[in-house]
Amino acid sequence: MDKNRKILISILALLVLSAVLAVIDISMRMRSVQRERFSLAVPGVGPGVGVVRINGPIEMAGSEGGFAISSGGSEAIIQRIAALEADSRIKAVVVRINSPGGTVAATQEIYQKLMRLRQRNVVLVASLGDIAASGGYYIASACNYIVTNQGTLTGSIGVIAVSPNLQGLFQKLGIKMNVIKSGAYKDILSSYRDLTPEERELIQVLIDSSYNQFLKDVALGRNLGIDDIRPYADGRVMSGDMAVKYRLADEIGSFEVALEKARKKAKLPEDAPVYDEQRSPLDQFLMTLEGAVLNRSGLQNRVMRYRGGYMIEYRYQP
Amino acid sequence: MTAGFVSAFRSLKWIDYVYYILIEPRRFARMIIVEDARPLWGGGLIAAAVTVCDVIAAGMLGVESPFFYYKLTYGAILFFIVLIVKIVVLAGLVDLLCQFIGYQGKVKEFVVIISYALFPQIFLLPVVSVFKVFHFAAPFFYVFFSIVFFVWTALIVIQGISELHAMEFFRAVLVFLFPYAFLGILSFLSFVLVVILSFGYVSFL
Repeated sequence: MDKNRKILISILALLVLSAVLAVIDISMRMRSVQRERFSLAVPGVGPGVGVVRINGPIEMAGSEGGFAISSGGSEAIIQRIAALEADSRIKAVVVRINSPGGTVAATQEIYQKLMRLRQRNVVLVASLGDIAASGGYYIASACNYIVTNQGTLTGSIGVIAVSPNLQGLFQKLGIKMNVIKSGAYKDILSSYRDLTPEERELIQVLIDSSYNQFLKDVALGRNLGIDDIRPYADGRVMSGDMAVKYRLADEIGSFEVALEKARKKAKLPEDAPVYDEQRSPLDQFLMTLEGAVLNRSGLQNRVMRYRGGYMIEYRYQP
Repeated sequence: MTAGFVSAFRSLKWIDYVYYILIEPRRFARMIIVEDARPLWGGGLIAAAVTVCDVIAAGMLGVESPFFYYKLTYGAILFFIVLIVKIVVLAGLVDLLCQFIGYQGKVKEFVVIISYALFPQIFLLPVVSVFKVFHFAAPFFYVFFSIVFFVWTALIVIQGISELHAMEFFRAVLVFLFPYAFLGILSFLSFVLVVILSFGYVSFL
């Protein structure tokens, strides 16, 4: 064999050897890192506290922004609760609420789901943020224990249906609606005409029915009688300390206090891990971008406030 | 086909290709003209080896997670495909310019030369390994030698272009730089277009 060929084959053999040694080196360092991570991560894989976050208005379908990142929505929240329910590590759940409430059915679905979790002896602790009013409080009442900040806006137990009456404006503009309907009440709460007394009575029945259900569920969740709640269930909003005074909440404290309480009630060690919701970095980036765009253009309010029609809601609506 | 591959491997002709690409690129270019670009498969093997060595060398710079094995397998396959596409695009653009200025089309030979010219980049792995073992600024030397080996690759390709078309060295340099300039301008204009469209989309929201 030619001398040059021998040299080159030796070089190639050394290259292959260096590649193999490099892979072995990387693998060895990888293993040692895994050991370190394992020793540090022992508390992170055991029984712990799950976190469910409820932010913004509660509706069946969450808002979907310009970057196709859906946020909120009762179905997403229920899926999160179901995931925690299926996870054998979860011994307690902290429900972090920052919501003015929302539609009746969406709120009731979340309440029912939490009650089901509570019946399975999973400790539920609600932590109220800036606002947990109306439907937000409805959901909190499903928890065993409610921790509220002193400055939290809560309460607002009641039901509301709002529909604009644009009859005068329509007349002024000369707009007339052609309505062909199958029944007298088919266009109830339409914005182009006033409510008739019969329609008002019909809506009131609906409102009262939802209100009674609200009272019943809060009483059940808080282990109180309906008559204990009724005096404060006139739609009034209250601060955290007022809510504690009226027994609608249990303790003044932050999210950290709620976590500690959940660990204590579930008999978990003080350093038991917290399993919070995770979003992929791409989702976080797109949501940040979307938030920046909407805030800057002042569109957020328009997007959040716009509705195609009326809704009956458990919602604090100043 | 397998028998042909085995006999070609046992003939050790491929060693000569590697030897000449490193020592005498012009002679290598003459060889492939005579042999009608037959060592094409060898170029593919070199591209694969470069990809694997690059993944391992990059992995040595930090502390890897078990995801490294995915990078070394699926990731290397993906990078290999990307590298092949890059080689073909580069050869195509070089050949396009050569034909435009009056030379004969030799895209197959360019593909072979460019893929063999990648061979010096394999040396990045042992070089980085040395600096890693001595804990001496391995990331810096990774970048530094990446540039050095790229320049070596570029010199091989330029000499190959010069030899294939009996072209002056300086003119071969310009021909080699053409694809980078072309793709650079194209990327810049695409970037401007994307920025304009993004602003349009955001203002539409």
